[in-house]
This record gives sequence, structure tokens and C-alpha cells, in this order.
Amino acid sequence: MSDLIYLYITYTIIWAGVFLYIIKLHMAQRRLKKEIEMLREILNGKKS
Amino acid sequence: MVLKNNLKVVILGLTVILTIISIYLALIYTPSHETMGDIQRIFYFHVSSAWVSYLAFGVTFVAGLIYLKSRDLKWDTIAFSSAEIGIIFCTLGIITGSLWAKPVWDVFWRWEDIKLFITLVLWLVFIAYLALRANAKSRTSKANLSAVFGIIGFICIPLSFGANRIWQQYHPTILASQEGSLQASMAFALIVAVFAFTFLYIYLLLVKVDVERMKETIDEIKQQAGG
Repeated sequence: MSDLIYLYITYTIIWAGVFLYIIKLHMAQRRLKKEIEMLREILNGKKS
Repeated sequence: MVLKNNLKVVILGLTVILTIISIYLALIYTPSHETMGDIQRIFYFHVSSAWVSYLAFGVTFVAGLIYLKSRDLKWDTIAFSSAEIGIIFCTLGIITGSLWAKPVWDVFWRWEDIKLFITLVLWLVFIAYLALRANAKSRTSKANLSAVFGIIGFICIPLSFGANRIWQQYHPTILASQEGSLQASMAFALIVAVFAFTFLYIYLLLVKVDVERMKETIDEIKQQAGG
């Protein structure tokens, strides 16, 4: 394999890895935010 | 909260700008290396990944020490968040290093190279950190175990950083040796890449800490609801 292929694979791995991790964190953030809102609504409903 | 969100947006903006500039510098602006050719262009982000992993594990170490002294769980959250990011970048550093090594050394890995070996040990220590944490029963034992493991793992960092300077084996020592010294344009590209990855680390840490705090909030609400 030529050097450029290794270079291409390396850059792809780095940026794919970084983007996947960012996406994973943002999806978790969105899911947890919804869960907190839902739990607070349930809790407020129970109190009232 | 608004201030924190604004800070995140500013850091993300700086990260994106610096990343675009650093990719341009690494791939177009800098000349090919005299002996290695274009494969040397891997080094800008390989070194930056390694730097961020050291920084992240360093933050884990310091936050772990503060937790052990103060017993404030927010420091454990910071330590754990930083450790996870450190593992991501350590993994990227190991993979990119292996992909650089294949065309240059003709093998992906040299077990006899102490720097590579210690870096692998560092990576394994922090993988064990995550495994131990996942299996600890109470929040406090999780935090205590993590702090101790974070401190043990940190010992590998000066060894990993200094190994090629002390034993001078296969891994190049670019920043310190005369023969491996960089041209000004290459050094500039490296500095920009390191800054880009440092801002990326800060951004990821802020988001990851947020995620962990949200999980803690959910646990608290569930406890309230149960009690």
C-alpha cells in the first residue's frame, strides 16, 4: 500500500472517532434531558 | 447555565476554526518530510492525540487527588469524564502510531520499544479503571476506587513521555533531538494541531461532565420519588 493510503486511513479514523464520540455525547445529553423533564413532570403530578 | 452554554459555544467555535486550519496546515501548507515523505503528515494529529491523552489522564489524577482530600463527588465526576476522553485519544494515538509505523518500520507494532509498551500499559490501566468503576456497587466505592486507579495510571505518563528520550529506541524523538528537529512550518502546524485538540478536549470534557451530572440528577429524582 502506498503512503497516501495509510495517510487517508489515519485521517479517516481520527475524525470518524472524534465525530462518533461527539454524536454519542450529544445523543446521551438529549435523551437524559428528556428523561429528567419526564421524571419531574411525574414527580410534580404526584405531589399535586 | 447560560454562561456555561455560551462558553461551550465559544470553545466549540474555536475548536472548529483551529481544526480546519490545522488540517490545511498538515496536509497542504507543510512540505513533505525529507526521509519519511507524506506519511509524516500523520504525526501532527498522532502527537496531538497523545498530548490530549496525557492531559486528560493528568486531569483525572488531579481531580482524583482533590476528591480523596475533599470527598466531594463532583471531582470524581470530572475525573471519570476526563479518563473516558483520555482513553478515546490514547486509542487514537496508538492506532495512528501503528498506521505510521507500518510503512516506516514495516511492522505495525514493536514490542521491544519501551515507549510503545508503556503507552499500551497506560491504556490498559485506564481500561481497567472503567471496568472497575462499572462493577463497583456504591457511588462512594466507585469514586474511591477510581481515584486510586487514576493516580496509579498517572505514573505511566512520565514514563511513556520520557521512554524514547531515556532509552532512545525506535520511536522518534522529534521535539528534543537535533536530527529529528522540525522545520519552522512543521513546528507551526504541530502547535496549531495541539491547540485544536486541546480546545476539543475542553469542549468534550464540558459536555461529558454535563451528561454525568444529568445521570446523577435522574438518580436523585428517582430516590426522591421512591422516598
